[in-house]
Amino acid sequence: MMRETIHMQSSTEAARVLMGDSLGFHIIFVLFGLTLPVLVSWFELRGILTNNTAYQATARFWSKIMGLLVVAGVISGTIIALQMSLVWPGILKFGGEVIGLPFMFETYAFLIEATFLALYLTTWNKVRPLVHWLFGLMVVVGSTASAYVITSVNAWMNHPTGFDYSAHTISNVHVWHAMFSRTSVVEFVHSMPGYYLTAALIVAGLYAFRLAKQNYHARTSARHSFDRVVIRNLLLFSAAMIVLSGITGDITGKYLARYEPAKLASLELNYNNRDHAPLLVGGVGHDDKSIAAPHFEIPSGLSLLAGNSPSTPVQGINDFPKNQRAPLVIHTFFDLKMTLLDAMVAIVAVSCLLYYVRPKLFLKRAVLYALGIAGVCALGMVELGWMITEIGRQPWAVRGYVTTEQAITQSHTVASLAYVFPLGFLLLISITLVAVRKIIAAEQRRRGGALC
Amino acid sequence: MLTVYLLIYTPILLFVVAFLMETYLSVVRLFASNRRGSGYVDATWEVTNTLLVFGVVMLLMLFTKSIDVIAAAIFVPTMLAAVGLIARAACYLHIFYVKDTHRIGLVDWVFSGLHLATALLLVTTVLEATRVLITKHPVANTQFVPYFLPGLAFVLLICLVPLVRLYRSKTS
Repeated sequence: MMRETIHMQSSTEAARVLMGDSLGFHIIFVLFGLTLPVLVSWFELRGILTNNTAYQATARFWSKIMGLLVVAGVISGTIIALQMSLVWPGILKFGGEVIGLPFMFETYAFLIEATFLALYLTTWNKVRPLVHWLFGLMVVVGSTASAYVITSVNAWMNHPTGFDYSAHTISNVHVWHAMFSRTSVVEFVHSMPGYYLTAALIVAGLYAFRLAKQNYHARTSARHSFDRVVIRNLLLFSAAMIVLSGITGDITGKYLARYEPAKLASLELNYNNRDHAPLLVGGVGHDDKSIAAPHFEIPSGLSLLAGNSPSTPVQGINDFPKNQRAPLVIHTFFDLKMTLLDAMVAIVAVSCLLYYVRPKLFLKRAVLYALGIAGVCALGMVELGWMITEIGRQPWAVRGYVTTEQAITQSHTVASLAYVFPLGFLLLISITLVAVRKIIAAEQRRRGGALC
Repeated sequence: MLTVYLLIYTPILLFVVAFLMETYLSVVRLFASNRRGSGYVDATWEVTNTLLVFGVVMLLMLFTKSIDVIAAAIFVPTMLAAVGLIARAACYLHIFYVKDTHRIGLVDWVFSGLHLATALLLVTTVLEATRVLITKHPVANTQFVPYFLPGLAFVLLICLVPLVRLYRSKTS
């Protein structure tokens, strides 16, 4: 019996590691898969409208990388779909009647995205520019729809709706309600700007790094003028996404306070139900309610976040039974995420300011390298954001109904797969990076050092 | 019930055909001249994979009430096939994006071998799933079908012409 329990626990841990690793890798492809079609479409449309061939050349260049990343992304997406269903069958056994449809709709979106991407990549200069652009737009439609339905499944796991439950049976199912729930919309509108921001900053950082390798004279020369235009476009896009992320982050905070209070309580290490609840920055929480490590409080900050008023009451960790509390480690992840956010916002703000006010200073190596670092910060934020969402739901797989241990497969081979898949993903991502580097180097050789 | 089986087996059958075509091309290129050898497969790669996802998702979503039994039965071959798919993607990227020459080397042979191994594993998955469906008589979620079919018709209407064009240009 004891051996069985230990085996179950190790299988559950292995399955969590497996899923966590796979999602951690896949999310990198996801954010590029969602953002590059938008950026490529934007550059191509500008090129068509202004008759500026440099924009179209940029779109074509990035569409090559988009195609390459999709090769890897499609595989990692396929793996996630298989793992989600086969490693965690308990989730679908419980709620398949409610969330089966979004999974099925995802295949529509996937088919539209894959078909039109293939068409887009193979029809450059073979169809009219506007028709070609419309193919690209369909890729945006497919990838965005795919992101929505999958996010809606995750949202349902966080806050299950769209059914009645009694005597261990689901009844009165409303699939549309589950798919278009408040949670789905909140998660979607908060994650999308984050993906756009991250990929745009990484692309901008790439241009910045390439520019920084040249001497100052070359950086300011006409040969690199369009590189600078691309960086400007991406910086402005990123700034807009930061504002959107801020707004949707505030909405998410209010949503958590009302619908997922246990997660918010652990996220902010708020132990007691109270008004004028402070926002804690730093510190490491312990089950005995003590807070270790350096920290400080922003008076009434959490109450303001939860309800726009210092007198808003916020539920505390102690309001929930011990076995239903979210792990306290998510507070540390959240602090890390906010630190990266601060660094990234500062870099983007200073870069934008310098670009318009002191353009010569903007082209200094330190500023260009900092822009590259901003992309890495944003990537860290996205990864941490998903870790907070997923770890913050523990011990539940479907909150309030199915625990992680109940959801796991009966197969005993999960533990060995937990080592195989991360190695496979590492190999895939390494080769993808080498391939991207080769495409960039070839483009630079073709253009005498510039990327566009 | 016939609709349910059609929804599962049509995409899987299409995937098997497309995947076998890619497997054939991956073997042919090992023995072809350099020029032909470089032309294995292009943008239909992701469409072929989509068909696999389509079939598996249909199987699992239409039989969620028995998913634990189906998942346990197909777990090992499907997961091994998934490992094969990752390795195949890595080889693909190496051959067509990283490698500078068209000379056939070890990675090309591994690439071709992975096609064969993955195809075998996926066929095992399909047979195993079929065995479970026949012997266990699981109950299907037919309530999804009225929502799903009109959407499928609409999506196929959008994608059919591009798909035919893509696969024809691949074989020509």
